[in-house]
Amino acid sequence: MDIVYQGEHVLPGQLGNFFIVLSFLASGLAAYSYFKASKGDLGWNKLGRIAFRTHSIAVLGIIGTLLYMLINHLFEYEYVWKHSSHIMPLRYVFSAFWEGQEGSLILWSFWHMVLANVLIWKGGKWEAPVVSVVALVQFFLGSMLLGVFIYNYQIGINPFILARESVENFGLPWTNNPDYLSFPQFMDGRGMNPLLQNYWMTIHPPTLFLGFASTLIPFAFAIAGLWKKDLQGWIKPALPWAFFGVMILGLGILMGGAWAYEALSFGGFWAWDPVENSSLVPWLVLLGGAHLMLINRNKTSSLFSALLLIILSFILVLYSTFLTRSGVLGETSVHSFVDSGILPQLLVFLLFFVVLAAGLFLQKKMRFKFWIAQAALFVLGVILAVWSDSTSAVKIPIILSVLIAGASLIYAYRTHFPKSDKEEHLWSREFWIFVGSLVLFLSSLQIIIWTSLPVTNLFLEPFSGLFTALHELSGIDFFRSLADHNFAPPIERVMEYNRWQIPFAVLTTLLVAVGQFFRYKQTEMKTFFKKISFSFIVAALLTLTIIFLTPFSKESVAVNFLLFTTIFAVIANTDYLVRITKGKMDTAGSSIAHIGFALLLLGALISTSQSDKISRNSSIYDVKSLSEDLNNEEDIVMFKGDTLQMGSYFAVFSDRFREGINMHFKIDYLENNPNSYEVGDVIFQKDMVFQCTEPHQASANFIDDMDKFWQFVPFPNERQSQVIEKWNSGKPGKLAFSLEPLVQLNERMGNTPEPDTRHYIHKDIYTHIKWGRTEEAPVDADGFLEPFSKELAKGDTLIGYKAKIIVDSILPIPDLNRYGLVDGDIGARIVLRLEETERDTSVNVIFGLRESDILEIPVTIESYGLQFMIESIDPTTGKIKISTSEHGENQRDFIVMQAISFPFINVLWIGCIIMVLGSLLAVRHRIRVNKIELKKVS
Amino acid sequence: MKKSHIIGIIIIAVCMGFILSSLFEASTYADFKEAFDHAGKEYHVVGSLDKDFDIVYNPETDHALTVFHMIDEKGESKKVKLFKAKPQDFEKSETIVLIGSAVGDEFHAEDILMKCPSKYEEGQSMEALVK
Repeated sequence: MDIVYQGEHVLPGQLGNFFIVLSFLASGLAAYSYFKASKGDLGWNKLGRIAFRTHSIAVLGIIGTLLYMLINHLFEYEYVWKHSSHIMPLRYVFSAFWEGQEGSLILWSFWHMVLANVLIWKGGKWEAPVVSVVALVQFFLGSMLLGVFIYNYQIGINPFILARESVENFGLPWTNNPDYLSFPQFMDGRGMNPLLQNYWMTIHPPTLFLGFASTLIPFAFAIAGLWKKDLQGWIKPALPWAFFGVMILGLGILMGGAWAYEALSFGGFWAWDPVENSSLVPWLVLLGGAHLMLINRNKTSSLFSALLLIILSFILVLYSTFLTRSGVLGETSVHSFVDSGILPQLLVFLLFFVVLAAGLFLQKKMRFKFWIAQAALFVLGVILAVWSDSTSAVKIPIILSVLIAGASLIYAYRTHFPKSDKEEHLWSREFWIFVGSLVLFLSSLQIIIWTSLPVTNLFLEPFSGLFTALHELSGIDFFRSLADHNFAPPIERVMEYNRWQIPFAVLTTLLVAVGQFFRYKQTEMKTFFKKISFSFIVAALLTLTIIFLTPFSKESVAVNFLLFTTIFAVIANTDYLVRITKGKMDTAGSSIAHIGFALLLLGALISTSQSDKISRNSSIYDVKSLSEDLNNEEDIVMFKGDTLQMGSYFAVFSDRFREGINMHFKIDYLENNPNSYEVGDVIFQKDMVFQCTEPHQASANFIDDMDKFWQFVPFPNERQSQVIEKWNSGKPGKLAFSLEPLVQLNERMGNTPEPDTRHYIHKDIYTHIKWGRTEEAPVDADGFLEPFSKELAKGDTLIGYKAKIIVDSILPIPDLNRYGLVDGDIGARIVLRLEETERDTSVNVIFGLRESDILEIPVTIESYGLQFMIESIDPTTGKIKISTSEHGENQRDFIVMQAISFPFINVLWIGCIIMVLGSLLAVRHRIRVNKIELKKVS
Repeated sequence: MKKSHIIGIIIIAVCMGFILSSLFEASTYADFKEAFDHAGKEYHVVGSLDKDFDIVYNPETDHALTVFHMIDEKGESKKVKLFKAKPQDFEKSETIVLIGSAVGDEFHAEDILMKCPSKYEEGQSMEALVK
């Protein structure tokens, strides 16, 4: 009997599935049609357009349907339930859309579709081959949204499945209940992760995915060029697309950094996290490739490298997708996701295009032999995957496949690529841009190899036996580590990556500085050096000034070089912009982008190397406290109301309040004013007492003042002991600003701290909470906390929040009536002494026994916020069991927080904006140049 | 030798250098047994919170010390001293990765990576490294 479920809206899901299938099939048809059209048949071109336009409408249909479901809260659908809820504000509906795996795939596919439509609109001889490649990619992406089953194997994940149909819920009893939609769990969706409910989640993913999508277009052009044997002709039409990709992908990556800096509590904007790295690497490779395209557009010198890098940039985007979505990263990344079962699909997607591209480098006969060999390996892999129990065996064909592809690339380079008889002149723009792209390539190689450690582990596994044998033969420990294939990222990850990347950055920025001064083909060396000398000298002087006047002198040689080269790059490109381009907007793009790039690196360099954890070495400014002043931890404990000297401020934890789902912690930053001492002032420093001999203003360190102004007092007298204070170099002034870092509370998602930052022009003060009280301790009607019992004997001590409680004595009660007892009761009087810094008090607590019932006689001491009650007395041991309860207000609220100052971090953000603007101008310039050339030809 | 050949050789040499450096500089994932067999050597140890024991964090006495017990992937439970403030929502963590070394009968962790349930969507969740 078919169950009829109440309240389900089945139509949207069916419509959505229709669109998915339509989109999938139409993209396949478009790919095929355009493939035929590339052979010269224009009829197929028309069909290709119709097919792709149909595909485009279907993609829009998918998006519309999913949006409809989200807006109308159709929680019967798995995706809607997982990623949205009633209370979610409507402006986050887009964020919810792409929060999940399926949604972000749709977003990616959408951008491909948009870009391809631009290509179709432009038309021309490249339309057919290029769009056929894009359509093929869409076909693969479409397959990842199908969610169909072949035997037990799931192809793709469908965004439109009903919750009761999902694999996770399979077989659960409620899936057979026709009224399941009235169950409380379906009254509302699970909701978006509150950490993602901000404007960043609305702008960062679409920008980033547009960036990823834009690497496909130059790739498709390169493939088309290889396919149609026009190894150079593809470059000019593809140039604007390549730099468009540089601009958008760069912007997307930087947005991610800005988001991390603003909303996450790791205290920075880049952590060399695998997911960050895997999006940076395609960008670096694209950047290199785009520059190689520039120098090969008229005269070829490094065509192979240009093709290779451009093709690699898209392959790396596929690889990045593989890394982040397959779950292979495991524990190495905080971004790593639960394996959703699409690892094999992603792998096939990746390998298909690697093999396709590698094959195209070869010539006809070799090409087909290569593809057939690869197909055979694929079939072998599938057989091994299906028939074998372990995943070991299938890795071998994969490794072989990649090795053969690599080998064929080398073979192709040696046999088929035109080599000019004259090698490039050493002092030519071609040569040095080539070197620059090489450096970018090496830099990205380092990043991706280190990031791929889990993948290395995975592929070392089948050779475990071999390595164990080698280890036994040779005794070399390294073989054993290889056999274990359990490598983890280095302990000091950021430091280790920087160690490699800073030298690469030095080389890159040096070339950015001087690159444009080289002429094509050949440069007059004298003129060259004359042109750069001005910038070089100014930069050198500036750098030296900075090194001598700031803590930069303590940094490593590499860091100081980077300081120089980035400044040099900024000045040299400004010089070029002014003197040579004479500020013409048309050709200014590259110089401006270079300035932005250099400023970006400069800002990152200064703010990171000179960042100061000002919460370290903070000292308590509490005049009453005689405790140790120096604290060398990164974080600092701040009790409510305490004033702490922190960096160039005094900080006070002043308030804690809850707003919605956030617990706010208010921290006031007061100005640090110079402290002055008069003759006769008595202070203590490091447990020693000193008296001031001369009026003076305190220096930063006591040591500097000690001999000049202070006299050691070995035995302070009564008067001195009364006025003694802790030495301080400054005293708190008026309020400079307040910050409110918070902890976002969510039962389901978990507590997440969010920093708050004060932005000045020349620095940022960044504060975040490491630990703060997020729940109120439960109190009774009078405000007392839960009582706790303890067994004490005479003389024992209890430590309360405000006072020490000592059991002074246990006395009998001669006059029962005096303490509210009647004849026949047994009683005892327990005297407790309460010790506090200022005074002591005694309190009587009565124990009464009436006909073997223990009387409950609580005693409250309001001034101390304490409540006592005797629960029992053991006459043999003389121990009493006493229940103590403290008033909620006794608890001193405190937080553990970290504050960091980031000097000149605004240089980084300004650099980002300038770089994007410069790239935009460059794209505009390339489009114009193409238009002009097209006019000339026609 | 042709310039292009030189460049090719350099690239291959540097590539090998990167691969080897990634393996040499790498730490290793290990279980408690291996970490305790090589006391003092730094490892990444994967495991989960042992709910049979309390999580002790007293910021008034030491704000950078959290003491708890962890069960590694082989099922062995050891006392762990983490020299950091107690991470937010530590109790809810599913998987933990400790970075540190074994000292005596305890594991001293300098750093910790946590994975919490349902925080990690299959999509774009961003979460901070607990540093």
